[in-house]
Amino acid sequence: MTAPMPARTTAGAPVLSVQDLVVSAKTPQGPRTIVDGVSFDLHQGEILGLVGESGSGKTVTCRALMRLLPATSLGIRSGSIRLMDQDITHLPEDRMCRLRGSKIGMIFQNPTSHLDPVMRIGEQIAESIRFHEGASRREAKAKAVDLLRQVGIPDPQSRVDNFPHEFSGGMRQRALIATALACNPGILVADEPTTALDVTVQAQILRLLLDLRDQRGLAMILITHDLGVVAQTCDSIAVMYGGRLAEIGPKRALLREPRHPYTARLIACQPGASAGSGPMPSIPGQPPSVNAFPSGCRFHPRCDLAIATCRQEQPPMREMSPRHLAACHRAEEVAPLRADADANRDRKAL
Amino acid sequence: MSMSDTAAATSRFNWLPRFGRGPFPLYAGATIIVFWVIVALLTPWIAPYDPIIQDLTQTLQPPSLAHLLGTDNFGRDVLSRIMWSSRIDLQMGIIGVVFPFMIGTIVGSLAGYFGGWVDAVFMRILDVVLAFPFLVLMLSIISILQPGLVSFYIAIALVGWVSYARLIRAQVLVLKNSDFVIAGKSLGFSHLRLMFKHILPNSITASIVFSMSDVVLVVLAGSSISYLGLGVQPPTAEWGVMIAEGQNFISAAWWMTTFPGLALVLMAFGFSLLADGLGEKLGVRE
Repeated sequence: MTAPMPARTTAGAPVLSVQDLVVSAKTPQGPRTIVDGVSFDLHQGEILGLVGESGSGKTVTCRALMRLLPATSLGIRSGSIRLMDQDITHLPEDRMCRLRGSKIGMIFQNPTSHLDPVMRIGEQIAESIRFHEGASRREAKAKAVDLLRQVGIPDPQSRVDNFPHEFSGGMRQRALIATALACNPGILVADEPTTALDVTVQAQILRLLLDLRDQRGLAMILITHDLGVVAQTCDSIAVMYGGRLAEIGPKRALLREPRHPYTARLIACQPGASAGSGPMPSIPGQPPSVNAFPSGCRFHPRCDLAIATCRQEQPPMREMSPRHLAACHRAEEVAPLRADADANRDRKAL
Repeated sequence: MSMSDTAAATSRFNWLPRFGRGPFPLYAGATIIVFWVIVALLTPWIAPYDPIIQDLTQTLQPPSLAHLLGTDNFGRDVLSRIMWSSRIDLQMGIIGVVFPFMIGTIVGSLAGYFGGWVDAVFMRILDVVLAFPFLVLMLSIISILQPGLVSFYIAIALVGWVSYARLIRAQVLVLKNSDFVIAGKSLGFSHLRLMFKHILPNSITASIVFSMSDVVLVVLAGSSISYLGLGVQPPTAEWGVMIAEGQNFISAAWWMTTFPGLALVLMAFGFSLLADGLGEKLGVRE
């Protein structure tokens, strides 16, 4: 395997490795690139935060990892995805089915709609155990009770026979996590797992994910647009903008010394970052539309540091410090921004 | 009672459908249907007379204590014939719905889930069936085969599935892109498992409700076809046959047509109420 990215200090081979992933959509006007050249590695026990605004390609990237892109409209055009030691980029569907759930699991933003409303919680957890491991009904149910206990459902013995509508939002997310982890996958893809939950429940679910990581050595991709969540939980962060990776690196380095103006702006927009009253800072302009990505660096129309080169040339990923890469022509000049209220009069949220 | 006690008590009855305090139509309809089922089951023991043996000394008797609903032109007791008919009509209603339901569900699921040419082929067949008037198609199929109940069941299975297929297909089209199906895919489930264990239980409600009102249509169709002489053959008692036989005597012996007609209406009414109640009950749960 050729690895253009430098070796990580994290020991061992990555459990998941994505190289130059390109996903395109079929439209009447021809193919449109939705995700363009995304590369990252994920190691055992690592939590990678995938950050970006709506439409930046986070979810599509993760669906591509699971090979769950709707075949009629989206497809992987180039690049490779390696799961453990297997290239799954073009693996046939029947073999991919065996990997999903047993090697790589996924949880979703809205636990209510992602649980089958007419099936008991216990059966939903047991179903994948029986499907993948061929366990008997009784064994699978015992395991389901055990899983519910592990994800912190009180009185799992009787809760296992409940329907999803008898669970609260937080409990549904716990149940969804239990279904995803039923067959001990090594990797969990979490697509905004806390967005639909209120703040206290959100903290509990994040705590649970961290505990599960520690107990099981789970590697995790956490999609979110909440930098606060990322700061609490992740080991490394990948920032996406307009379908491309803007910056990727260890959490501390990336948050303290962002090397891409977009990351710096995002951090400055956090409610905690601007002290006192006054309008919340925001990034002027609109995120680019898939139909009309700007030339060169996709962030240049909204960037203070943009120069002529930025408009013409796509910036390459450059390593700024160990394992910290940024795609900016002027990465050396990006300084952490302080909240700059008067620069951001419009309050368009991320 | 502690929480785990309650839980144990409920879990023992998990297999029962949980109706609880259902709406009134549901219970009224269920009561009527249960009444007919009991009548049908007990008829051989409780029917006062034989439904077929003729007694030409007792023809066209009006309702009396000896013959509560009177006798027909062959001296057969109308009450007994109505009771024996309930067995045939219930059977017609059930078999005449079960097969179309199964065929329609399978075709609708496949068409909705896989789309593409599978969908196109099934939907064109469906269009062809729909292009003919229901009774005309039924009659032609039955006359190609041979008059009788078995032919009726075959004909209704060939014609009746289209409504179920359309209902299920519409639901599956929506549900196949729903979040819990994607979640199921992320657990590596196969298409057939997703289709029959997850999508179908969520899409079948409308069909179940429709099947209850369809029973009414099937029983009426069965009676109409018997009335036309292509279904149940005399001397077997069947409500449609009885009405057909009675029409020649309608001015002299109104009881020959009225009571089988009322029986038919009562059963139809029961299934309609049941359909209404089920719809309300299952709709509320969504």
